Amino acid sequence: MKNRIHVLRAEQRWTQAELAERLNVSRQTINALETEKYDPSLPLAFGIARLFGKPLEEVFLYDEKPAEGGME
Amino acid sequence: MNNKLPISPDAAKKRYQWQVLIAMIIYMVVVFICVKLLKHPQPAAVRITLALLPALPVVWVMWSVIWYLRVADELQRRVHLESLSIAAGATAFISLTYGLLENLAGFPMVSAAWGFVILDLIWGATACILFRRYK
Repeated sequence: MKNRIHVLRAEQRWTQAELAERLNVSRQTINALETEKYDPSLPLAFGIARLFGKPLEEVFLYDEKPAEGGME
Repeated sequence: MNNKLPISPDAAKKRYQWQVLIAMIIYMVVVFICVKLLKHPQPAAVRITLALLPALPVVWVMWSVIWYLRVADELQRRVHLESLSIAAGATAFISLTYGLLENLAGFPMVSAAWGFVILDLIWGATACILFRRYK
C-alpha cells in the first residue's frame, strides 16, 4: 500500500522520531511505513490520518501489489 | 496503536535489552557459583536448591519478554512473534533430531538446558534478519 506519510511529515517539519512519539510507535516503524515496507494496522492507519487531519484515503493509496503482510 | 502506554516503544526496547543483558550476566555468575559449590558433597535439599538457583534469572528474562511484547508497537511485536515461532519450531526439530541420534545411534547425551540456549540464539538471529527486512 502506498502512502504519503513522508510528504505529510515533511510539511509539519517533524522528524521521524517526533512522529513516532506522537503516534506512540518506534522510529523504526515510521521508517518502515514511509519506505512502504510495512502496512499499518487499521487503528494505526486511522491514528496517522487523524494526526495529519486528513481522511484515510488521502494518506493511504491502495496498491494492487500488496506490501509485506498485505492481502493476496 | 495504543496511546495509553506508559513508555514509548523505543524506550521499552532499550529497557528490555538491558534487563535481558543483566539477567543473563546474573545467570552466568549464579551457574558458575553453583557448579563450584556442587563439586563438594552437599545434602540432597541443598543440591536441588543449588541446581535450581540459575532458573531464577531466567524467570526474570521470561517476565521481561512478556512485558516487552505487551508494550512493543505492532511492527516490533510482529517481528518478535514471527522470530519466536521460527525459533520454537527449529528448537523442537533440533531437539527431536538429536534425541533420535542419542537414543538410536549412540550419540553422547546432552543437557536439556541447551534447549534454552539454542532457542534464544535462533530467536535473536532470526529477529535481527527480520528487522533488516523493514530497514
